[in-house]
Amino acid sequence: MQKTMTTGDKLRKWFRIFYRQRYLHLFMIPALACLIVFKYAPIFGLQIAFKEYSFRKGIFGSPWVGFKQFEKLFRDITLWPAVSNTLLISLLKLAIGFPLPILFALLLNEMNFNPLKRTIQTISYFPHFIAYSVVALMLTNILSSNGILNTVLVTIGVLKEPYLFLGDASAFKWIASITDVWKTTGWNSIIYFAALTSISPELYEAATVDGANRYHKMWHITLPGIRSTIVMLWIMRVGSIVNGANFDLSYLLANDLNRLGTEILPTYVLKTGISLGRFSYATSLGLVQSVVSIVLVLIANGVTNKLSGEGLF
Amino acid sequence: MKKLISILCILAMLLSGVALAEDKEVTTLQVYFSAPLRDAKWVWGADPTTRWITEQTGIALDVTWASTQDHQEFYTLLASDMIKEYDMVYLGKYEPQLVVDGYALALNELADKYCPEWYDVVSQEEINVYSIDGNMYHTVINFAASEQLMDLPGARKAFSMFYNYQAMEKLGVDPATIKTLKDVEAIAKRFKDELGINYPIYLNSYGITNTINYAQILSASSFAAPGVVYPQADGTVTYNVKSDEYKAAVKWLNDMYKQGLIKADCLTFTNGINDENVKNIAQKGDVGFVLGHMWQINQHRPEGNGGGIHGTGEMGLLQFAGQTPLAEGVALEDIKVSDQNLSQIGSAGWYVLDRTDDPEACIKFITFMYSPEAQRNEMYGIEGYAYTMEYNELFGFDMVKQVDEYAADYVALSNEDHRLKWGNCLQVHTAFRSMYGQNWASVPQIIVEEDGVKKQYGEMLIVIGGLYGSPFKTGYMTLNFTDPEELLLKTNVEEAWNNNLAHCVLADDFEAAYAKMLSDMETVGLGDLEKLLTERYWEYDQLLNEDRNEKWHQACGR
Repeated sequence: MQKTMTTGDKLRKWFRIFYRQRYLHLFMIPALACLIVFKYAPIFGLQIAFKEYSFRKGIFGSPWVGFKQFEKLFRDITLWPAVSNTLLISLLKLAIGFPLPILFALLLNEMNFNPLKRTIQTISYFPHFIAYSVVALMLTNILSSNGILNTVLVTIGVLKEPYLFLGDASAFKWIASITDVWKTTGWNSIIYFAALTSISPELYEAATVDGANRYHKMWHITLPGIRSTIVMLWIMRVGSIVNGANFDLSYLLANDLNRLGTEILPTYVLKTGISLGRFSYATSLGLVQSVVSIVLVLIANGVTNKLSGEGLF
Repeated sequence: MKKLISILCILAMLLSGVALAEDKEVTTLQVYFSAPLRDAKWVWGADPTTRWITEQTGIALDVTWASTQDHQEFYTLLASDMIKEYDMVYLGKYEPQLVVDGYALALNELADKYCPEWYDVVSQEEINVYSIDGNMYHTVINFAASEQLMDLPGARKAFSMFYNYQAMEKLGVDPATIKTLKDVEAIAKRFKDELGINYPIYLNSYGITNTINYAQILSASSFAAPGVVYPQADGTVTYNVKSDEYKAAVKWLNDMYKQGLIKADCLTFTNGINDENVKNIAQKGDVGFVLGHMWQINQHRPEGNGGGIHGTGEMGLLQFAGQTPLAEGVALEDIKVSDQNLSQIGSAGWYVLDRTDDPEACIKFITFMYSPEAQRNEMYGIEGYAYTMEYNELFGFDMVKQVDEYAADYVALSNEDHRLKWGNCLQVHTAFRSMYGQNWASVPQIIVEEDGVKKQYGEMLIVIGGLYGSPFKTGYMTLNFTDPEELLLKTNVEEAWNNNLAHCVLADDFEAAYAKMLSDMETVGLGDLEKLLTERYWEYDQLLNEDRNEKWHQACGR
């Protein structure tokens, strides 16, 4: 007869397992502490989005104003260009920047000459380490009217005269997206490389025996093998659409000619919230962004679950 | 006997120690400056002016500078309550939270308690205009109605023109002959045609539409614009952007661009890139004229000699040109200076904070800075103090010879007379007069030798004051909107202006572009903003009365 476990037995079992894994838990404590202090504790401050925050009175003493900050937010006509720019840039980055690391990882995976493969991989990581302030300076030189891009385009006859790329508001979304893709493709491909190593080589051998060529193997073995990684990252990327536009480039490259195209939600928050001491107003926008992100993650997760049977949760 | 001598020696040492201690007793006030307006290495006491102030008051300042101009750090200090470490804060704008939340002490209450002399030195007009519920919470950087200034030594704000002196020499042009914008245009074309300088006019600033707004200042210093705001014929008050002079200033920039004298890229450069560019062109001389603010050019002065904000190094080939050349048909007398013009009511300056350990020292410091003695110093330099001019070789005018005949007059003449007499003679004018002290070398220093001693007379400046900066700047009480609805309206109108102005400079069809700018501003509510502005303007007008503070003026020698 099987003995049923009492609550006390379950607790004792739990403590035994916990004690056995005590060093693992100890390793986890710093990361957990960081998570709690920097990610969960600040959630407490979100309440100032519903208050008229006073520096003197602090979070607790500031009066409640309900949705007044949100009303102000949605009535500000300068918010909407920031919203549309943020979405445009994020969607462009998603469309170009999401598949490229996968493609890069797949193509590099097909290389047989390992020294060259590793060299290309290493070189591809370099842009990730270049600070955005340096990137902005580089772009200012490259895209100026006597910069290399204009020189090449005029020389080959694409342009009749130099074009002021940095003065064109509509060009900024392309500049931001392409720069971001250049900077992150190599680095983001790391996780796909890691996923590729988990695919059993026997599958490739069996496919070879069955007469599959390189493309068949990629389509039927490689891609399905890293599908769960792709799905997970896809859901997370969709969730960051409202935050995904790059603050650094928008802030550093904004000028009097292109401001209509460079204003994004983070720069808007900085300009109208933090720089004016309107912390409640800035928090209300932050809260809206977070809520939208959660909704997008839920939708993306639901859709991928339905289509592929896989999801984050 | 030996014992007696020893005792006497010990007593003498003790007494001298006490005397030294008394001599050295200085109260140090902690001040937070919410803008990076000096070389980071600047310290109080390193120059004659600040030492003089400490000698007179027994007060020194320990200044902490913000690293940006957007006040983020200041608000962070407030939120984290680290502001309690400071006795005073310089903000440059009126911030209602400081008053509502009780951070700022009322200066008049401090004066009542510790320093009634304050009422003798601060003009009644300034008190009238800046009081809120009967209390005055901050000083004002410049108050044109009474011509009072209150700023830290070494302030440099003036818009100016610099030229490539080597290129001028090659062309055989005497810079003193450049009086008008037509002259600038003609010389710029010669720079291009004869010397191969492709874009001879460089616009150096932090963009033409942000706070450092040189389209605004160009309109004032060259085109005699009426003011930051001004009443129209029907009494409606509007912003300078609607004036003919402002439009003419922007049109001039557009004309220069169309003639290939200005490179469009100038308008895309951000602060850091601008700094680098100016440094490069200053060294290589790949420019003819540089239009911009003095302190931005000045940053390239050698360190330790008023080395600007960055004090990075040589001035290179750039030299200060003095008065910005005038537009055609504009005379120097047309420039709007120190008129009782509400648009020149200065921006908010210093606040005394509630948790200061020494409110008495704070109000005494402020009172002293407003005193006739200190005001004279601010305008003319420390009386009787001899300076050495470091950059004789860099200045293009033969100043000393020209000023001899006026040497003895400076104390007796009024400021207006000074300006006209010295300024017209020397063509030495800049746009803002807050140049306290002589620890800098950017503006030409007038050195006169008297009895074998070189004496410096402060720069002779035309005060255009409030015309410097963005027309929508909230620093000015007249323009200050703190109600959230009013602030939103102002922000929207300002955005419409911001989004269009630079395009006007580069427009093929200038008239259409400028009309679009004004139309966009009207669409978002310029008319409503003008109504608010008009109410406030005439309200403040009533607070200013014709009775000047005669006693103060007499004490100043005016």
